[in-house]
Amino acid sequence: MKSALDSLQLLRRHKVVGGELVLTSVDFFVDWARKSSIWPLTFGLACCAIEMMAAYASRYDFDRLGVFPRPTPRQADLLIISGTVVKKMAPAIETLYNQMPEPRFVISMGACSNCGGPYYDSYSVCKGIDKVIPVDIYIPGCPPRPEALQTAVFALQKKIDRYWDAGKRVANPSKPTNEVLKEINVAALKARDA
Amino acid sequence: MYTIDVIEKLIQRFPEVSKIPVPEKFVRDPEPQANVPPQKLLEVCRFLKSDAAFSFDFPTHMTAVDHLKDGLFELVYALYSTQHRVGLILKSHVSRTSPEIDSVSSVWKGMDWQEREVFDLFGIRFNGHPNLKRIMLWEGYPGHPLRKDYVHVTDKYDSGLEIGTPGLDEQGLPVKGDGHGA
Ligand code: SF4
Repeated sequence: MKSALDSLQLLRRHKVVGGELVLTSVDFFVDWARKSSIWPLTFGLACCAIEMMAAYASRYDFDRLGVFPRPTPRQADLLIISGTVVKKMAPAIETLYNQMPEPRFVISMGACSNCGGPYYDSYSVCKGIDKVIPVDIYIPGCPPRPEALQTAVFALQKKIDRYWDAGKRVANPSKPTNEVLKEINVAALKARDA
Repeated sequence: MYTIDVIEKLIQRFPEVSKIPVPEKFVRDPEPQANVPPQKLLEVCRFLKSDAAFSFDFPTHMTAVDHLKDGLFELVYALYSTQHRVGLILKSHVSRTSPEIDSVSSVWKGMDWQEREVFDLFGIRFNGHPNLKRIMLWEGYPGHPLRKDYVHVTDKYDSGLEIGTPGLDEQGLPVKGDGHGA
């Protein structure tokens, strides 16, 4: 908000009959509005979701940041992946993400959704939600405290502030290559047959 | 009825059943354990539930253990009688090569999902089960993950790669004969 008004001072004002006129591009204001009302989807997965709920409640009060949960992905700007992503759930998350209107943002909350966390070696847990959908902000911790989620929201606001500057989304972090995958599977099979 | 009596009475009725000694030194107030041959399991369970002297009306849980070296699966049934306030653990062994046993879901409805879970994770078939499908994992999951010889196959949620990537078959395994010796 403050930066928005500061920047307003720098804009050129044109004196016209009956008042003043400011010429600017609308992107700036759109970004400012967008970052001040980030609406996340009501969506929780595991223990991290409890911390997320605490963040929405009165002590941390995310409403003051313009963050309050929406019941449908059609009205949501933000998807907080708060918890363990099991492989059975991952396709549903992909669908939810695809149902959200652009521009959409994703916060990966906690060790589980960052990389699989304590369940990294499990047969049923997705090794990071970024294998499925692109992620904007990662929060470390198991679980991260509500303050950490708040910091992530601030970081996201900063990112949205420069959204149009950057031109486009930051690309998905690089994925392992086909060769690496082959090596993993071949090693597993060899270990079994040995 | 005292805990000690349960097995003695059961063996009187079914001589095939044998007592499993419990290390009493380590377990305070241990539940009695009995070994039941798999062919007799359904009959024994029916008896345990319907006979007034036992009336095991509450199936606490069931699970399985993989004894890879012996080539056996051990099925463990934990029962409880709310009337007599005693517990009982039944164990039954089936071979790993053809893991099959009679379903006891006709005796206790609560065993239905428990048996589905054991089927899902161990691949033990329950004959006479009304709806023997996977319960935790999804249809088409390769293998049964709680078996000791289970090998996890990397899929797209482990690697971020799409199934059907060149060089991989539908399960994410390298295609045979590509020089990797798989
Ligand atoms: S990161 Fe920790 S707290 Fe969060 S969902 Fe995983 S196990 Fe639970």
